[in-house]
Amino acid sequence: MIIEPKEYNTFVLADLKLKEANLVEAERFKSEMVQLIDLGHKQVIVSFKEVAYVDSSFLGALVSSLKYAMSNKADIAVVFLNKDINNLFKLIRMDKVFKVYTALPEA
Amino acid sequence: MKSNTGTTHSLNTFAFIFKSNVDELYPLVTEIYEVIKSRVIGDPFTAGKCKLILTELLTNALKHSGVDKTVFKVVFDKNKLLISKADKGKPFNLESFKEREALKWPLDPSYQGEKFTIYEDEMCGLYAYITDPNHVIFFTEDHPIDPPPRPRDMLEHFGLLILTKSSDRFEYFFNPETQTNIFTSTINL
Repeated sequence: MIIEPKEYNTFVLADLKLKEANLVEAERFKSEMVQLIDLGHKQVIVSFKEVAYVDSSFLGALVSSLKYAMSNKADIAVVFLNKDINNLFKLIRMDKVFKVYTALPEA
Repeated sequence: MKSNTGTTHSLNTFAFIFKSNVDELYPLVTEIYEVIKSRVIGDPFTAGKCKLILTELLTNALKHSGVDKTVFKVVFDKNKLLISKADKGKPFNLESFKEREALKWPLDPSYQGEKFTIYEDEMCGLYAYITDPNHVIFFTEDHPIDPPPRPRDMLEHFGLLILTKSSDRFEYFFNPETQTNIFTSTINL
């Protein structure tokens, strides 16, 4: 598993156990996100706390997961983006698509 | 100067070889980035953009070139930094998300001067300006996001978009004689 899920009252935290979120991990990430949503979670917050960099393939998998979530009336947000990843989100306007948290919301 | 990793460097030009091994990707991004960072010291914004460009160029090599050798060059030229990727693999697939067939290289001269739509969604468009049958310059256009975007309609391919948006100029050359593909990112320093 590359996602370590932790359940809170109002959301599930999907903690990414990766340093390099790249094309090698993209498919696996998507399938683990789909599994989480299939369990009925309506709010998934992906934690990038341990992630040093994200590539375009992984971002594609994140958007694809969001589409799957929305078709199941669920939503995906992100938290703990480092400076580089935060700049990347802004560059391609992913910050308009995903809610970007800097700290975990109150459960 | 030639190092034991097969890289060659001169005063303002640094060359690196990537053998399409996924385990080498991030270490090589870091190695090239360190060379750049030492020259753009004090400008974290430019350094950050360079890191994105390197990551996406190497990822592109791994995903699309279909060859096991790609040459990366970093050239400091007065107030510009050029990062290029050259290989003899498959030519760039210039295709629109709306059409099924990619254009063949060299491109038909009738395309010269055209703005070719690579993809477009609610948030932005990615286009190639065809300057001649062997050369395109990429550019993007952001669309106003009001109301908020509907992710359902969003495309999921971001590599070229990141490269184009991070560069001051991003272009592709096809050399028909040597069958070489060259992507070049120019960053104004």
